[in-house]
Amino acid sequence: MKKQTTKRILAAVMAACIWAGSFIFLQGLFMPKYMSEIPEGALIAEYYKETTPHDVVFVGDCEVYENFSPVTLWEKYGITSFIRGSAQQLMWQSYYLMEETLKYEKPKVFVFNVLAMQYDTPQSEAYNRLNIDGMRLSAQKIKSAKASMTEGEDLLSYVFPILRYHSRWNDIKAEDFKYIIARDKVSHNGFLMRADVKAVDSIPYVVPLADYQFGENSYKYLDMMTKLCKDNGVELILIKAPSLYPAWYDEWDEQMAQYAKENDLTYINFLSGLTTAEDGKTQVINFPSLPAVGEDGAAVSSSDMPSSDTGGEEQKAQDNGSLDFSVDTYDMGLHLNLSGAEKLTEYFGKFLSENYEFKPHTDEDLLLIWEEKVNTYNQMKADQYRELEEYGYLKSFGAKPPKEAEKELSSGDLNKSENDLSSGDLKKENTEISD
Amino acid sequence: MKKFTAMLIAALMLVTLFACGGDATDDNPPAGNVKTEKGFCFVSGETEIYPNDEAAAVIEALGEPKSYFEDPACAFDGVDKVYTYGGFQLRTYTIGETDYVFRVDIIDDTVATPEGLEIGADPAKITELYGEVENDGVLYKYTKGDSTFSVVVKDGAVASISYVAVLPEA
Repeated sequence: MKKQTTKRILAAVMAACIWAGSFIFLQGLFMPKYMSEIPEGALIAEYYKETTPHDVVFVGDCEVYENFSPVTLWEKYGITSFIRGSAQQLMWQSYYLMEETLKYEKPKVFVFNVLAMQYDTPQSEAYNRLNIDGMRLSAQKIKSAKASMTEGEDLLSYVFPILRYHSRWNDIKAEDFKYIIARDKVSHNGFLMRADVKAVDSIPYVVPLADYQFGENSYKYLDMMTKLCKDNGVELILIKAPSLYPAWYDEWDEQMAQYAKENDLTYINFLSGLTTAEDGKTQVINFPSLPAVGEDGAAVSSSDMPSSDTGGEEQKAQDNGSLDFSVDTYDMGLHLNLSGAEKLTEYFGKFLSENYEFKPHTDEDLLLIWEEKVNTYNQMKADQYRELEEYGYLKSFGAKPPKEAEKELSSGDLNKSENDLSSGDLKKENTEISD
Repeated sequence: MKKFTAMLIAALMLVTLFACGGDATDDNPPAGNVKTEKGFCFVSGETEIYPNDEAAAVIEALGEPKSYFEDPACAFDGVDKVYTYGGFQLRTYTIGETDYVFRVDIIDDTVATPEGLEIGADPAKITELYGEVENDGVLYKYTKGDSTFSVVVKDGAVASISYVAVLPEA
C-alpha cells in the first residue's frame, strides 16, 4: 500500500516536472528573440549579464541608448556605466528599473532623460513589451506592468509571456530555436551602435500646444525617482539629450529647470547650445561650459539660462566640443550616430568626472572585463565603418541599401509593422499619432 | 499505463493553458480606412485635403514640397512622413502599405482656412466662423466625422490651426 502511494507521488512529481519543463521550453521558444530584428527588444535583459558594478546607470528612452557610449566613458574617464534604456520608456518603467537596479548594485549616479515627462498615461502595448518582457520576474516587473498596461492587456501575460506569444507558433524561425537558452549581446553596455550618417536636412514645424503642463502622473514618478535616489544616497541627474526631433518645448525645459532647482538636482539640457552654422543650414550644438555642481547637489543648464548660469560668455567661448548634425546623426537628427554619441559622451564624461568623486578602478577582473568590452566595441566599430566604405550601408547590421530604402519609401512599403516582425503579433500604436 | 495517463493529462493541461490564454488584443490590423462621414477640409489651391484621406493623390496634387522629413518609430519600422508646403505642413500615417493624411497644420499667416481663419487672427473670429464650442480660452476644438479642427490661442491671437484625423480603431 505504502509502495503504491510512493509510486503515485513519484508519477505525479514526474508529470509536474514534464509539464513545467514543457512550459519553460515552449515559453522560451515562443518569446521573440530580438536578435536579427528589433534589437531594442533585447536591451533590458542584457543588464543581467553584467558581473561588475557600475558608477553610472542611465535610464530612459532611445535618447539614452542611442546617444551615450559607456565604452567611451570608460576609455576617457575610467567611469563604468550601463544604459538601462529601451524604446519609448515611460516614467514608471524608468522608475521601476531604477528600483530594480538598486537590488543589484548602488551606482554613484543615475542619469534620467526627461523626454518621457510628456507621457502621462500608458501608450502602447508594443513598447510596453520591449520595456518589460526583458525584466526578470520581480515585484518591480509586476508593478511596472501594472502601471503600463493599456486597455485589453492582461497582467498575467507579463508573468507568463507565453500567454501573449503562443500565437507565434506559425512564425517560429531557426533563430527562435538557436537563442532559446541564451542570446547574443546586441549592445555595448546598453548602447546601440550605428555608425552611418543621414544628415539633418530640415526639421518639421513645431506645432504650438494648448497646454504645456506635464501631467500629475509624470510628476508623481519623477518625485518617486528623486526620493528613491535621496533615500539611497545616489545622485540623480536629469538630462534632455540633444535630439532635434521630436520637439522639446521651452515651456517643458522651464518646468524641468524649475523642478531641478526646487529639488536640488542637476538638470542639463544638451540642446541649449543649438545654433545654425555659418552656412545658414547646418544645425550645430556648441557645447557650453556646464555649471559646477554645488554642495546641495544642484546645477542647472537649460535653454533659458545660457550665459550667467553656465559661466558667462567668456567660458562659453571655450572649446567644449560640438555636434554637427550634417555628420553626427544617422536619422536626420532624431538620434546621434556613433561619432555623435562619442562626442556627447566625452563632453558629459568631463562634467561627471569633475563633479562627482568616482573611485579609480583597480580590480583586475573588472579591468579585464572592460578591456574585453573595449575590444568588442572597437571590433564592431571597425566592422561598421568597413561596411559603410564597402557597401555604402550597414549590410550585416540590418540596414537596407539606400536605393532599396528609397524605393520602399516611395512605394509606401515602410510600415512593415511589428505584426510582420519577430515580436509576433504586437500592434503599433504610434503615440505621435495622437492629438 | 498510469504513467501514460499522467503524461497525457500533463499534455492536455498544456494544450488547455495555451488555448485559454487568448490574445491580449485583437491582432488584425484594420484592412483600410473606412470613412463614415467627411470631416473638416483644408484647401490648398484646388486641392481638398481631408484627414484620413489617402495621401498619395493629395501629395501628387500639391506638387513638390518645400521640405520633407521622415519620422521613424523607435524600434519598429513605421515611418510617419512630414511634407512642408508654403504656409502649411502635412503629416501622414501608414496602415499596411497605404499612407493616409494624419494632420494638416497651418504654420504662418500666408494661408487661411477655407472659412477665412488665419494665424494671428482675433480669437473672436473662431466662434464667429465655426460656431460656439466649449473652450478654456486657449483651445477651441471642433469634431466632425473622422476629424478634429483645433485652434490654439496664445497672447490674444490665434497661434495654431490644425486639422487632425481621428484614427480608425486599430
